[in-house]
Amino acid sequence: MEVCTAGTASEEILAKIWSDVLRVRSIDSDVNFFDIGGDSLKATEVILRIRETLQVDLPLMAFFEDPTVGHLASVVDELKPETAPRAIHKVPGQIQFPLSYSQQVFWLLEQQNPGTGLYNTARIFQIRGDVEPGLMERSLNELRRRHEILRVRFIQGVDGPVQIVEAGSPLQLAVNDVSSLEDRARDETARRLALDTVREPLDLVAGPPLRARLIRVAAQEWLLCIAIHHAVSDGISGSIFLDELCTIYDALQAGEPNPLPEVELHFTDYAAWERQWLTDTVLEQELSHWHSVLQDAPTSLNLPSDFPRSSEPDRTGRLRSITLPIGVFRDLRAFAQTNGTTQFAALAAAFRILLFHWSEQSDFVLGTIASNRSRSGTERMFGCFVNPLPLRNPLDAGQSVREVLGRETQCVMEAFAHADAPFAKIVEAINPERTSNDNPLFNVALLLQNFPAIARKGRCFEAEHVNFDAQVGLLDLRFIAMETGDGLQVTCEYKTRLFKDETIDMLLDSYSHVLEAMTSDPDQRVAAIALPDSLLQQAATASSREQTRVAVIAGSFTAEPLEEPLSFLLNKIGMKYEVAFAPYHQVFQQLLDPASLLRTSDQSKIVLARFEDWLYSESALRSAHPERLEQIADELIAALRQADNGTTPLIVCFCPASSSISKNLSCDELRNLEFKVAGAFAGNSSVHVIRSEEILDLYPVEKYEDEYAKRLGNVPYTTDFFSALATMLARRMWNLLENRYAAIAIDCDGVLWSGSCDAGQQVLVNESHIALQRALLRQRDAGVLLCLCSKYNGQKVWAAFESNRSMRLQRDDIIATVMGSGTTPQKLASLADELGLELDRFMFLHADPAETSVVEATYPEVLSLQVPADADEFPTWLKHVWAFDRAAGRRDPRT
Amino acid sequence: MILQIASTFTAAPISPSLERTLVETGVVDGLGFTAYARVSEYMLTPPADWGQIAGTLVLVRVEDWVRDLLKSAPRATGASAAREEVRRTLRVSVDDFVNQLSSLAERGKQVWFVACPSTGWISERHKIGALCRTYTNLLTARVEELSGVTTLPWPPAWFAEDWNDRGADRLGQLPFTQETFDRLGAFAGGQIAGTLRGGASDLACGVSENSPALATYLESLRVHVQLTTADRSHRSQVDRFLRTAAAFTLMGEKRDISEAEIDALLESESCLLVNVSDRLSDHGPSGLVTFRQEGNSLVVRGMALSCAVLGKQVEHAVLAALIEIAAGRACRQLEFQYRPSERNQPMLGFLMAVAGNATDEKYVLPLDVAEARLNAAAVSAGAWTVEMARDLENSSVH
Repeated sequence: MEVCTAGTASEEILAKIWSDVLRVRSIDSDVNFFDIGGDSLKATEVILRIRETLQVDLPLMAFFEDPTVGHLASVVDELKPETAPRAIHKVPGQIQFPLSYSQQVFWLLEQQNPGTGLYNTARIFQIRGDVEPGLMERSLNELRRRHEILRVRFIQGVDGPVQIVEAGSPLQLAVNDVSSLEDRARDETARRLALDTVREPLDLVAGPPLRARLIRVAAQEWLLCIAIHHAVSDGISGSIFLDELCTIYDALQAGEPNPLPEVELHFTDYAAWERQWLTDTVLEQELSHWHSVLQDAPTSLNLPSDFPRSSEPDRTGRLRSITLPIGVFRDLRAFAQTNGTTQFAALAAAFRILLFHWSEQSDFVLGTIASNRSRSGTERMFGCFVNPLPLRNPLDAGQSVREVLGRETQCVMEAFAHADAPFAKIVEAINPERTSNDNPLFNVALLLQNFPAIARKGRCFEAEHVNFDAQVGLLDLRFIAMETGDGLQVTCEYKTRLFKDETIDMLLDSYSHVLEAMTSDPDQRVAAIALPDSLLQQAATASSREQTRVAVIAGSFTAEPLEEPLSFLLNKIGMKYEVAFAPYHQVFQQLLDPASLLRTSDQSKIVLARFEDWLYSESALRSAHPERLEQIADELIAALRQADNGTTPLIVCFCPASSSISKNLSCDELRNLEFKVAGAFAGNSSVHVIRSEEILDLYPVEKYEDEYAKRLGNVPYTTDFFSALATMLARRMWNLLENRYAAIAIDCDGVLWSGSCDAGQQVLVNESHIALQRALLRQRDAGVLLCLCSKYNGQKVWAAFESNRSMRLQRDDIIATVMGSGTTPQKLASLADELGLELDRFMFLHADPAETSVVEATYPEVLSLQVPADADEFPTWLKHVWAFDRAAGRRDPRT
Repeated sequence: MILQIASTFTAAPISPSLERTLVETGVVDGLGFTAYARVSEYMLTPPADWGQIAGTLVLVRVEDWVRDLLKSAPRATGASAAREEVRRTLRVSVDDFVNQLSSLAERGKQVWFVACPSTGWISERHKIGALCRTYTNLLTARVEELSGVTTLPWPPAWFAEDWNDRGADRLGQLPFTQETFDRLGAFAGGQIAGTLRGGASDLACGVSENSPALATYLESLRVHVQLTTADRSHRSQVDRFLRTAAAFTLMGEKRDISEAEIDALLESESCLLVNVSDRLSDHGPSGLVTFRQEGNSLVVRGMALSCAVLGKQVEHAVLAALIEIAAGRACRQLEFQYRPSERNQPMLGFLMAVAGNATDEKYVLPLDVAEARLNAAAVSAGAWTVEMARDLENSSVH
């Protein structure tokens, strides 16, 4: 290596460090660091190497005052040497090691999400050339022999988890050949095999922490699928993996020994070193910075999601990408250089502006990742070095782009200067409010992968790392930028439970738009950068859904115990509602007074009624007779008509009568009164009646009367009944206000009939199938579209329709079909496309749990329903599908 | 401004009901009809009088899209080729129509859409009811995704009997009976009026702020209030009301009141028990009121009513009695001493309605305006009777 710098000793040393970090042969003393490939990450690496080599802690800002070797050397000379951390050294004769802090994070996450495979990293290499599977297996085992970290297993030690290095049994390479399948089936099978490989959980206790599969796709084309647990690997490890694997394979293929020098320092040595070096004193210094940065920081960025946020943890994800044209990318690089900053800081500033406009939140924490490979000896070390870093830079619309960029630059530099603080320790020190579903400190991150593309050309084959969608979304949103030959590729990993594909596409396009706007006019205000209308419209829709609404309840009895279960259930199903009660026992007054709490609500109105409550005294109850109650029913109908505005749903829920009134009136008489009121509003678009029988039929409660509470405060029901009532009301509210399902895609076998409609087989349609088909026809009558989705061809399916006289569904009832080959998600997408409907308007009925699971994972917006394996259970099952209630109150005569 | 009606059939008979709900009430100045042959053209291209159009009511019946194809064809034979042709036509028509409707909605004026049932002459003759139903569903689902279009349901409850007029449908594409057109017009007109007026359709129903319906209901209740003097023998009832009344009480909840305090109250103040009955129930003892005369004022320190009798103007009836008592004692004003608690805002609301704002934490109601204020505050003034104990005024107040 030539490092051509004439000057002081410090200048020579600095030039050598720059040369190593930037991989540039010649460094002049006045060349600008950022002009020769430097960025924020590399600047941090230089600072850390200076600390190790010269025992000087170079202030970060010195780098930005004048990023030249000459200037930095003069600053170094002025500073006194300080105590440098000891170098990493070999820990001899030991097989048990502590975990590094980064490892500990992933180990903990694995414990919290056991059996999910969420923290496996996917390394998928596309290989072109001759591959001999046996030789590949030997190469992988040689690679594993070289790196201790690939032979560890994790156990619980006395003071926490430890890793034990073992020889372990040889790694088995699974091999599949899909080359004989036709193109579409081949690609899909290969994808499924790769996905299974990377998502199947790795057992950290039993080991090994990796798995491998080789798939032959064509004569000279292979996929090598490696799943490695994140606790033993990071992005740069992937590059080391491929480099060494190719070298070893070539050597073994030629009958030569592995030419790579033995590894001296292992990650386990680093882990032991880190535990010794990060003493309380060192940590305290680092954490004081994070304390000042993250004080009172918001716990998360409130993103305008397409789907309501659930309290259930769900990390199913997907990837979408765009490539910023090379012109935009060049402009961005030039813009960063002109403004004395790094590409990452510019990308982060643009990302922050985008998120600010989209979410209307000015202060939030963005996450990123520090590679933490700045110490000598770690460059070619296999292991998990990465450390998440929080970046906080509050902005306002009045700032100029240049101001935002300047502050972001400082924020990034300071964060990387304090990257030694392990993320787990930062979280522990800040102790942010969090739920089990959230990542602490940030829910959105930006990564710039500025290490070289992972590709290698060996003697036997060419291999390159390919992006693979492992269907995981660890954060709500994660933007990953990577330089490619075509420009800058930006990939968004996102939770599919929160966002639709098209929203992410709009977001990525908008990011490109913000970057262009930012680079074209850095003096414009943040407010002047407008997002496309489509994205703003999406945000407005989300915001309107997130607004807390009020469900007003007017009861003829004390209904306050309903508040807790109803609020809980509504929240659980993503309906943000508060419950408000009208004054006690003023149902008529609330219905008849246009200024009442109930009448003025334009969101959701509920009336809870028992006829006996209008006969307040015991004597009135004793003398209750049908005519008197009939009169009350008539008055109630008249009052409800007054309150019916034709738009806002008004739910009238009759609750079970007390046993005392049941003595005077027969069940039939009370039932008829409820039917009378229900009949008066049948099919009406605003008043919806629930009869007491319906509640007890769907949610039977053994003991629903509470005599004691009734005497005390006219609270007539037990807690169990109030819970049942809350479920019934939440179900009806969801159907009236949220149920947008417009189509049902049905797979025929096991749903419409027993048996298979495949060649020559007779299908059986029994009473249960008839019941289900009738239920589907009721859905059709209520306006829902029925579609067929089958793996068999249309002729076989229609033959089964036409040959069986018990079939209730007929061809004319079916709006569209998609039959034959292809995966079920592909078929659903095709149906949605054909009908011009969004996928979130589809339900999917299938008897096979594997199919419903695939649909659920691929399109969580589709309501995927598995019908019972035993057709006798259909009638009970049908009663409990909430989405089918749409038909219950809306029998439409257009049939 | 006019409401334009665009339909796939002859919709003129809807005119009288829309006139009644929209024109006669001043919501729009008139109605305009687009000939069904020109519906596509209307939706794609603004007509010359577009500036005069307030919005468009679009009525669609999908069987009209295959009328030309089938009107001269022989009755249904079940031939699959013909069926496929019907399917294709319906499918293409749905796509075309949704595009046209989207174009109309993008012009920025409100559009109301009703998918009418395809149960007419063509559907019946060629047995394509289920097929039309299926495509009506598709049409509705697609239209629901358009912004700027309000989808109105076909109101089934109003159509218990057959709404078709297949004879008129065959001859003049008049699909429904006049009664059906009237009901459809009344329903759609109500919805359109609600939107164009920018408020709830309550207004369209003609319900005034004074709520005559509520007044009528209160009158029909025939609330009767009986006031009886309480003494030490009624201590347990007094105790109960003072301890438990939470929403309508001057003193707030007095959960920890002692027997001695109750005795002292009964000694120092006039205390009346309030018994309430109405046509549905005899509520029995439902509250109390305590007062004493101080100079020209009748000072009311205690007033508490059970929740079960609120909303029936019982409080108004009690105030009417207090006005009469004060007048009998030549007082010039009533003075209410209100102590706020966590839950007694309803009492505050009542006091402010009759006495205005507080002065030195006292709500004062001058006797010369008391009756007028009471009548103004009541939804249905005088819809009660009051019977007072003999030792009070020996009178009934109506």
